[in-house]
Amino acid sequence: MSDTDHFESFVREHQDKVYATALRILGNETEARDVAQETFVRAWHHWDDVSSSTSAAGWLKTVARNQCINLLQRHRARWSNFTDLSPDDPSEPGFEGTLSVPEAQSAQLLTQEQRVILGEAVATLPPDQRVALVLYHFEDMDYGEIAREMCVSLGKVKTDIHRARRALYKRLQPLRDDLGC
Amino acid sequence: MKPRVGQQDDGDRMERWADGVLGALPEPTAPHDLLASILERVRREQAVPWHRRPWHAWPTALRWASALALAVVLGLAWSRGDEAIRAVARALHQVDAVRVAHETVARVLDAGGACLGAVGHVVQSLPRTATLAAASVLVALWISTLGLGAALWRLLRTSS
Repeated sequence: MSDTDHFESFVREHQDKVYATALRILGNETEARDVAQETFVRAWHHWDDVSSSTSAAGWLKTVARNQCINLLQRHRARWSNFTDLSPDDPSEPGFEGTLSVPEAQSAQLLTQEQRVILGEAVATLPPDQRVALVLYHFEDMDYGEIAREMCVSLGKVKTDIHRARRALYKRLQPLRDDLGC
Repeated sequence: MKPRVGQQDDGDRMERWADGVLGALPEPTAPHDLLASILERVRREQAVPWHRRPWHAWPTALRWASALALAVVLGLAWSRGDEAIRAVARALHQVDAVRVAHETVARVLDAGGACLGAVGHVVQSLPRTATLAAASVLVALWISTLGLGAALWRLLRTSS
């Protein structure tokens, strides 16, 4: 089996995971595709090491994740650091918001429609909130790791994740009311 | 600020809820043409001769050889660098144009040094309090400009 054939089967095996990671973080299919492509090209550049590594999947996800975060940080305007100091958005509830706190919901209880809406809601969250939420819930990173990765304070990570969860809950609430659940 | 009683419970329940519903999301699948585009890019890169690729993409043996060659050059420069530089300078000085340029640069540098020396004498002759006051005013102006800029930025963001 030539290197190219081996690489092709390697891409087939890992492309969904890498693309999913990028898409969840970026919320944009075109950018996620570019990041996935770049990740595998880098893997090809280090093929001698990657092909024999048992942790290649983890390496790929880390490279993809770092590329996504770099991309988002490049997009961020120079003065966006001031958002750290900006007052809370009055349209969103704070920690003492008015939403009732939900009981844990079983995944099986979500309808197909709710899943679609939830997916869209995650993709349309503000970038800081989406990245923090995805890294916490999908990449199994803790608050400290996320703060270091995103170069922001621990408090901001916690607030972003909390706001993201509230926003998702709010988006699902009308559907839940319609369905009477 | 310490969390209020009950606030931590709410946060935990919200976390469990989010874990549950986000776990229900299907994993996105890669576009069907992603594999083809990756392989095409790799093929294009392979078609480029090694010496036109970035260094990290060179064949392993060539990377080692180039690193070794660089180490030899640096070692020679370290041990015999002075002699080599003096020899080059002597050779260059034989050329009229280089000698004239060198003398001109030396004169410009001398003149610059004299100007700086004159400014230094003027500053030293000023009363110390006047110098400190002028420096303080400059620092205050600089800080207030930064502060006003930040305040204006936040005002514009809030209003937009």
